Amino acid sequence: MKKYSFVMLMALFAHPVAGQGHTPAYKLTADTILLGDVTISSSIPVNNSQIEKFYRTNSFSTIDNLTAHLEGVSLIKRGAYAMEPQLNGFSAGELNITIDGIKMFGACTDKMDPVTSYLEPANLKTVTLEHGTNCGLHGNNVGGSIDLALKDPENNGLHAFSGSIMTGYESVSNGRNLLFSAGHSKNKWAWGLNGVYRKNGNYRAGNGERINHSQFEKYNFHSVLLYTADSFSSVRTDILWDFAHDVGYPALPMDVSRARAYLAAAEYKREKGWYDLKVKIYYNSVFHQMDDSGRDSLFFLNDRVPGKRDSVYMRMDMPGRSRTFGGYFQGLFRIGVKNSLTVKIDNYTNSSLAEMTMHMRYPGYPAEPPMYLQTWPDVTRNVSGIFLSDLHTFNNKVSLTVNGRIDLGTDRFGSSVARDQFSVFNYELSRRYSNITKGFNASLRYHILKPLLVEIQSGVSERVPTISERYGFYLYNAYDGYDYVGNPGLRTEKSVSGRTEFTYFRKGLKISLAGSVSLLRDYIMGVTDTTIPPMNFYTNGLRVYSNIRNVKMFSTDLQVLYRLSNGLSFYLLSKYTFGQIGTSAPLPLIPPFMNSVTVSYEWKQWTFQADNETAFRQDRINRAYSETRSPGYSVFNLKASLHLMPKRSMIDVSAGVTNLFNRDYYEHLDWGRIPRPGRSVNILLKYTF
Amino acid sequence: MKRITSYHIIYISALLSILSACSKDDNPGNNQSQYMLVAESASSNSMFNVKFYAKDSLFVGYNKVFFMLYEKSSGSQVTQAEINFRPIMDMVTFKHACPVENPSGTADANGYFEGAVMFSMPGYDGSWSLSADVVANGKTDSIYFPLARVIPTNPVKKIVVIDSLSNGSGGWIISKYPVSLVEPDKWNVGNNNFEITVNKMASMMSFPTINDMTIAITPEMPSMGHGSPNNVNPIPVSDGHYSGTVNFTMTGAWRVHLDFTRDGRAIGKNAYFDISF
Repeated sequence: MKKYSFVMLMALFAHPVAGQGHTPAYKLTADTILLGDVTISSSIPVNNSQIEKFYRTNSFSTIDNLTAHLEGVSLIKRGAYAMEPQLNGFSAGELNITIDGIKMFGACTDKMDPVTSYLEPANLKTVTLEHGTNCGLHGNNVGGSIDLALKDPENNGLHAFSGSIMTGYESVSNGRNLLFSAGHSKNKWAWGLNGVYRKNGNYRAGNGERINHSQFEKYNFHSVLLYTADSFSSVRTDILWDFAHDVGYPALPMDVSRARAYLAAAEYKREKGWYDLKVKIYYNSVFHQMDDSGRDSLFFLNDRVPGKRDSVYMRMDMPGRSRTFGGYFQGLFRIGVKNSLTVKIDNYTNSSLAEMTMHMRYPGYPAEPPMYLQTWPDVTRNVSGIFLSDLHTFNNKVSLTVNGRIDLGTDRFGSSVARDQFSVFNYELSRRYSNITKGFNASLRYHILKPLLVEIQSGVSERVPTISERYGFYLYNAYDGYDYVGNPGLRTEKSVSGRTEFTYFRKGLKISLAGSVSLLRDYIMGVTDTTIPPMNFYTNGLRVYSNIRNVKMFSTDLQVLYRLSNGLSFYLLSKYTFGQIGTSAPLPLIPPFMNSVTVSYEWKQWTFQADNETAFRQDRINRAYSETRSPGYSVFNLKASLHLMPKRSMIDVSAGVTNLFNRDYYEHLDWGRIPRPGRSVNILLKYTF
Repeated sequence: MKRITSYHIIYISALLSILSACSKDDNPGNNQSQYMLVAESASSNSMFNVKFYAKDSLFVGYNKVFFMLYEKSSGSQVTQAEINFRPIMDMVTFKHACPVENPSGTADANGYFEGAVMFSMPGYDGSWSLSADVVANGKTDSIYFPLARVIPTNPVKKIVVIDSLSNGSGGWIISKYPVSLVEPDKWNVGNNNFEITVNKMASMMSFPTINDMTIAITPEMPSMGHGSPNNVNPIPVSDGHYSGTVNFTMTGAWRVHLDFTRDGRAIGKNAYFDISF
């Protein structure tokens, strides 16, 4: 059967169809390219887009500020740091988050370190989104993909040495930021270095309250070395190191004392007319030390004897490790003028291990023996895949892309701990778990009228449960207060998805409207199991990851960019997501309708900008998952910047106020309803040489 | 490419495990040092030499004890013998015994006669003694071992469940049930065999086994206020022994609560064993 379907897939690829949209069929006019890249290829050129101006250099923002303004993207917030991206209501294991195709996995069992937290906008060249099942380039999945490409060596043409240094201050959190980017090129060699230092204290919310445990400090470096052998081929190596410490998570009972990631990658590229080849190998390692050393360690326990309360000192350490080694070969072959075929063969091996040790001491007594368990038993997951895609251009109006992927995944255990731990549930683990997943997608681009483009995509795909969902052992979820236990017997989560996107562009105006629908079968979520007693004195109970029969997701977004010739421009982004379990219950953690409007005015060397972010109230909540209604809010920001060009250099000075009216608000996806920062004055100075 | 590497690693580790397994087989374990020698003595009528071994220092609770028997005249090892333990605690004003399990008539492959003594209290400088009657090769003799120390343990591995029932005329019928924990070699996270012995103190010297007790276990981590799922209550498995399954979800300090029911009446509500690992 498996062989049969593979042959079928191959047969389909033999047809003159498919493709990944590497070469847009239409050239867009200059003023629409900026947003055009956002919507057409869903790729943001971070360096020179309108988006960048609006949101990146704006407030030397973290990557979260950037991703929050991508179509369909929302952020799940547990602290001021490391927010988890959600795309059209999908998050975590439902998304492929990759770094130029590099697979990297966070090491925190509580999702406190999404891969994006180990990157900085300063490291990035582009962010590419794919929606729904159409994410097969980076692995079979149901929710889409976010691919973050690392920056090339900087070369602004001003000097052999070139670069920029930027420093900024945020009043609300006493935040000090230093960003730099430098490049040097000589003959065939080019080298680039970029990085960030950030130190933020506890911020103050709109109601004046100081939010304790919202501080963080981080260092980040990215070095890239590029050797261009000839006009066709090049070799590139990337090294990235990211280290954050003393990171507070106000919505969680624990903080992160250290989160460290490093990544090394080497790439060979050859582009010769009718083909582009890319070979990449990589290794990355993530270490995440979660502990509660910054918190009050005195707890009060109810003793078995009714009414008696005991005080106890407790410390908890939860280190996690994740290492990934992998590589891929990717080739794009232009066959005739009408077809371009993409082939990608990839493999990665990820090893994850997370531990929990609790130290308990009653006042006046010696410490109890440490309580130890492995929340992620030592698991090694190997995934090999093949992806094929063909872009067929019928004429200058219509093109069709068909792609498919087959992944073979195998999980193995590094020790007997997993087996021993699962024996308490009377569950006997197999020695290994294997899955074959298949994905198939088609997308059509039709230029109906000169200014109107329609894209329709549809496909099926599935995803393998994450390590947490399969083998997690008492993972505490601070959102619903339950401990989660993995389920090795989970079936893959399957999705049928469709997306339609209309883009209208004319001179300075661009309107884009998109809608996505996903119908999921065997959706994976935690289901309460009352037969298993709760693990902790502060948990509500236990939930076992289970396959839910069906879930529907719908999301839509509207983008409007209007640029007038007098320097005034207007940008609108509206997003709405809807999720439903079965026939009635709302899917938890779905953002409400959100609207973001930006008006900017350029006058000589000055840029003035005002923006507003408005969210409606969220009433569609799932009480069983401890969701509560969230009120709407509206927040205003102002910014002015001055761009100077002294001799062979540039100076940018900007000052702004965020949350101008000091609103006390939180977003629906913010855990623990921790208020967001109040009014903040930001100052930024950037020197480019 | 990575797949080849990982297969190599698996192959090498498989090879190593085969090698290490071989080397283990080449060096059979020295069984003589398997247990600790507690005492060695000749029997009272000098018919036998007896070596007395235990797994560890003798303690209050269920001790596995091992006798090795030699015929004194020939020096040859005895493998068929009837041995009856008679432990005595001499408290000067009175004496009492404790429950025992006598060895079967045949020694194991290594020559050990295996039995058990459930010491009921600590003892020093010979206050506890272990005597035994030995019948082997048609000869009958007895042996006497004064015991230097029987140590208390913390947490305890022996408890006494006391049942008091009104006799209807202002007095009480008191029944005492010594219960001992039969420890496995090692406690693990996951499934653990949970075995206890139950006897009844019929008199100071007599402790018959009890096989009709109903026992329920509830493990708890007192400092976390939680238990564990899928525990199996101990049921009788051999004379005086009850075996079930206790599940530990993590290492640390556990308390296994025991509820005893006999003749339809609940007795000994607040009994427990603490288990730390």
